[in-house]
Amino acid sequence: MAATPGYLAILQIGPTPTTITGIKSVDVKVQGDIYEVTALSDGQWKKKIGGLADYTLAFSGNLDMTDAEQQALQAAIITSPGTQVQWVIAPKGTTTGNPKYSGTVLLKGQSIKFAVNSEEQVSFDLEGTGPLVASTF
Amino acid sequence: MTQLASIEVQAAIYAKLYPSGSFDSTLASYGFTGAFDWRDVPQNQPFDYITLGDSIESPNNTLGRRGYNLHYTIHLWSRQYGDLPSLQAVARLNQLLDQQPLTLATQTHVYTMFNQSLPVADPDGLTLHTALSYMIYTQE
Repeated sequence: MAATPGYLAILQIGPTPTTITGIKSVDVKVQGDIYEVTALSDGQWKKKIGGLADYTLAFSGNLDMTDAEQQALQAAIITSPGTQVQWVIAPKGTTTGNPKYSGTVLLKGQSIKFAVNSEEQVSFDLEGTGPLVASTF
Repeated sequence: MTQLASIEVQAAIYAKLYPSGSFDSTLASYGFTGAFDWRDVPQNQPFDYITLGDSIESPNNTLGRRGYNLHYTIHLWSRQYGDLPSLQAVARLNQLLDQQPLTLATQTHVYTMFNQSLPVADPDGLTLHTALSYMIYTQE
């Protein structure tokens, strides 16, 4: 399979997934705990088992507080901290049959940068609650 | 025109330099006779004059929306004594363009920021060439 260009990706937010504007970069990090269960007499090599899984999201791009989805993300940490936000990322767009990642997150942080020599920028840090689902449209 | 910012930006800057169709009176008062596309200066155009149009364009996209960064250069060509007329013209161009909105035909203007002014004595021994550059960001 050939590589996929990043500009095809679409990030959507909300119970009715709606595309968020201004985003230049999305990071999804999935991680699982691993427990060591090595017992006496198990020999030289450690034995391990899988544990709880977790994921984080990070979005960054141009600040646009006229965009309803950027407003919703901001409200989920400033106005109503702890609000759950549903999200979908479509690596190849939202055509039926294309892959998607989706889940529900809590806002952990928002960073806004104002610099006199560039566009205003925003980044959001989010932590998943419940599963990250890899499926198709 | 989408998928390229240079054409719309040049038209918008030209409109700033020719409000109501006449060359900016302040620039004219400094001895400048007009502004022209850098590849279309009239034959025997009297000095001083301005050329514009050679820009370096690069993408500044967001997911789902194209954007463009222009390193836009405006050239001043002066044969008056001293550098004051050119410096006055630079100041006037900054009044018109630096941190000012541009009205584009189809795209959205994000910002125009003064970047650099570089005066260089032309090899002809007569002309002072001042290259003035702006950073411009537009989105479709």
